[in-house]
Amino acid sequence: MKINGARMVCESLVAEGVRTVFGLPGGAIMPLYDVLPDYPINHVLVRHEQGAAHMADGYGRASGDVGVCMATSGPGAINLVVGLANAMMDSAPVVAITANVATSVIGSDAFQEADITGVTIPVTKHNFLVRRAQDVPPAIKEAFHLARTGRPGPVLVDIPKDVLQTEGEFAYPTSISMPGYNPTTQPNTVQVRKAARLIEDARRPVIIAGHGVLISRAWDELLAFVEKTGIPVINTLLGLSSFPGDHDRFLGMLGMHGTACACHAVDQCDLVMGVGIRFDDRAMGKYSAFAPHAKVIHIDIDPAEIGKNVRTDVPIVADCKRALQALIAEVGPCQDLTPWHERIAELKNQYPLPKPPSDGRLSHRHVIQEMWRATEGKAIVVTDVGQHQMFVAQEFPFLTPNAHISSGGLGTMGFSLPASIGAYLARPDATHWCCVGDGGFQMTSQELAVLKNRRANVKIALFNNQFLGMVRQWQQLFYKGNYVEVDLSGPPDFQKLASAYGIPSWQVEDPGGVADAVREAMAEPGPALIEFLIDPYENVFPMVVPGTALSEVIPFETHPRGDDGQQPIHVQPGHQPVPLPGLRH
Amino acid sequence: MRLTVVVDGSRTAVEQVVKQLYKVVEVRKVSDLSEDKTVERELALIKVTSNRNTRPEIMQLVDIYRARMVDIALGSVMIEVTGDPEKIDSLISLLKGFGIKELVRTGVVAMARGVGPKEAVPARDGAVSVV
Repeated sequence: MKINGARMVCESLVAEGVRTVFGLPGGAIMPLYDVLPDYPINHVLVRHEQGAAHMADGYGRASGDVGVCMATSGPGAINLVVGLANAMMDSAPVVAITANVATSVIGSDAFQEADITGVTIPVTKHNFLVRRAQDVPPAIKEAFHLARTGRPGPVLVDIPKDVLQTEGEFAYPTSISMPGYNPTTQPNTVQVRKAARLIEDARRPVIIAGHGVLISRAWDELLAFVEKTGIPVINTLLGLSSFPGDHDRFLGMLGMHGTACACHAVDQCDLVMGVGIRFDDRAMGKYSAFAPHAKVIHIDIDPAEIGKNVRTDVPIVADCKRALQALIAEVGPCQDLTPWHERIAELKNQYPLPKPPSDGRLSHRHVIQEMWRATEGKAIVVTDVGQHQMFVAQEFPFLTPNAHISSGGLGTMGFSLPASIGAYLARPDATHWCCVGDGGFQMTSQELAVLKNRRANVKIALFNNQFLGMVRQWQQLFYKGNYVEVDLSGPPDFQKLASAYGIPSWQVEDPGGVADAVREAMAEPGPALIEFLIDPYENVFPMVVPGTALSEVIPFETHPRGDDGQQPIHVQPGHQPVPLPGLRH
Repeated sequence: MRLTVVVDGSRTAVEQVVKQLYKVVEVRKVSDLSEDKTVERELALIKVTSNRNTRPEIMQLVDIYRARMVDIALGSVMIEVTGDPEKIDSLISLLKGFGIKELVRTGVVAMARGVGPKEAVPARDGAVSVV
C-alpha cells in the first residue's frame, strides 16, 4: 500500500489503538490534519498546545495507556515542552507528534522552525527526527513502545512537512529492535528472598507506596500484601489512591505536607519498603536524617532511582506488580506487629489533621471534606499545584484506585484543567473533579472552551484565596512576612469568565454554603464551576520545614490568629517573628 | 560506536552517571573502568614556533617522547604525540618554552587490560566507556 507520510502517521496511530488525540494545527502539520478526518481518531482541538500536552498526560494516566498530542513546528512544538517535562517528571505515558519545516530548509531559521528534538532531549524519554517517509511507522511503533513500557514517559516524534507529503510503501512493523532498551520487569529471586527475610524480621515496618504502584496497576497486589503482613502503608503524593484511604493500615501521605503520623512512623520504623517511589526530597525531609533506624528495601523499575537519594539495603529492580506478587509468595510468618500497630494508633490519635476553622472563615478543608462526602470518596480528582493540592492530598482519602492525578515532580501550575479534560475523555463514566487555585487556573483557563465543547462532565473547584497561596505561605514563614508579588486580588471575575464560556457557576464564601453548591454543581449534566472564596491567610499544615527531618514535622499552626484577623507569623527556628503587613490593594 | 567519558566524582556519582547513561535508548553497554587496570591514550597535535637554531632541540624532545614531527615550515613545526594524558601534559609544558602557536588534543580513549599478571600501570579514576 503506497501512501504519504501523513497517512502513515494516522495508520500507525490506529494500529497502536489510539482513539483520541489532542492538538492544534498549523502550517507544517497541515498535511497530517488534511487526512486525519479519514481515520477513526477523535481529535480534540485545544486552545494552546500546552493544554494538548497536559490533556494527553491526564488521558494517559487515567487510562493507563498512551496519551497522544500533536502540534505544528516551531511555537506549536515548543508550547508542548512544559507538558512534556511534566510527563517526564511524573512518568506519564505520552507520545507527541510534531511537524517540522521541510528537510530542505531545516537549519536555515525558516518560518516557524525550531530544533524541537534538540529542545526536548532533557524532557523526553526519547525523541525521533524522521527524515524519510518509510521511517515513520517504525518511529511511531518505537515511540509507543518506549512511552508505555518500563518507566513510562513522553516520547516525541518530529516529522518534517515534506516527509508527511512523500509517498512510500506502508507496512506497520510487527516487531521492534532496540538493543539498548530492555527494562527489567521480573524481580531477581535472590533479592526477593533477602527482602522477604527483612520483612519477616521487622518489628516496625512501613510501606511507602508511590506512583509506580498505579502505573503497574498493582493496587490489588499491594492490598493483598498488606492484608497478609499487616504492614502500615504511607503514600507519596503521586501514590495516592494506590491504597484504600479508609483502610486501618493507611497513614496518609508522607512529606512536607503529609500527615504528622506518617512522618513520625517513618522516623521510628525499622524497615522502609519503598514501592514504586523515587524518595523525592519533598517526601523525605532531610535525607541525612531519613528513617535513621531503618533498613531500606527499594522496589522500582528504574535502576537509576535505586540508591540515588537514599541508601538501599535491598534493591529490587522490577515492575511493582511482579515484585509484590513475588513477595506475597515468598514472605512467611512475620513478627507480631501488634505493638507497632498500637504505637501507630497512638500517633494517629496524637496527631489528627488540623480541623477547619469554625469562626466563619472558609477553609480548603471545608470544601474538600464536602466534595468527599458528595462523591463518597470515589471521584477522579485532578489537582493543580499549591496549597489546594496539599489539602486535597490530606482531606480526600481515595477509595478507588488510580483516582488522583496531579502535577507532582515538576509542579506545573495550570496542569489541572487540561489534565482533567484528558482524564474525563479517558474515563467518561467516572465522576470528575478538577481542583485548582486562582493562580494556576489563570494559566490554562483557555481550555474551558474545550471543556464546554466536549460537554465534559468535570466539576471545577476553584479555590480563590486571591494569592499565590503557597508562595505567600513561604514568604510568611521563611521571608519574614515580606509579601512580594503574590497578590492576585482583583480581576478576573471568575463568575463572568465561566459564563463567557457558557459554563454554569457558583460562588461560595461561607462554610455553610459549600454543601448546596457542590450538590447543585454535581446535578448539572456537564461542566460546572464553583468558586470558593477561601480565607486568604490559610496555611497548609502539617509541615516539614525544608532542611529539617520528618521527625521535626510541625503538626499544626502553633500561633492562633490575632483579633485583628491577621495571622501572626509562625516562628521558624532562627527567624524573628514579624508582624504581617497589610494586603496591598 | 564507543565513547569514553571521563567522570570526576564520588563512587555514587559515577554510579549514577552509569545508570543515567543506560537510560539513553541508544546506549547498549556501559563499562565503568574506574576499578579496572586500563590503557589510556590521547592524541595531540602541537604547533611550535621554531627556527634553524631551536629545531634540533625540539627534535630531541620529540624523540624522547616517541612523538613525531608531522609538518615542518619556516617558522614552526607540528608535532603529533600519543600517550596517556600525563605524558602529553609533560611534553606540552616542555614545549611551552619554544612558544606553542596552536594545540589540539582528542581527550582520552581507554580500554581495560586483559586478564593476566598484575600490571604496574595504575588506573585513573572514573573513566567510563559507553558503547
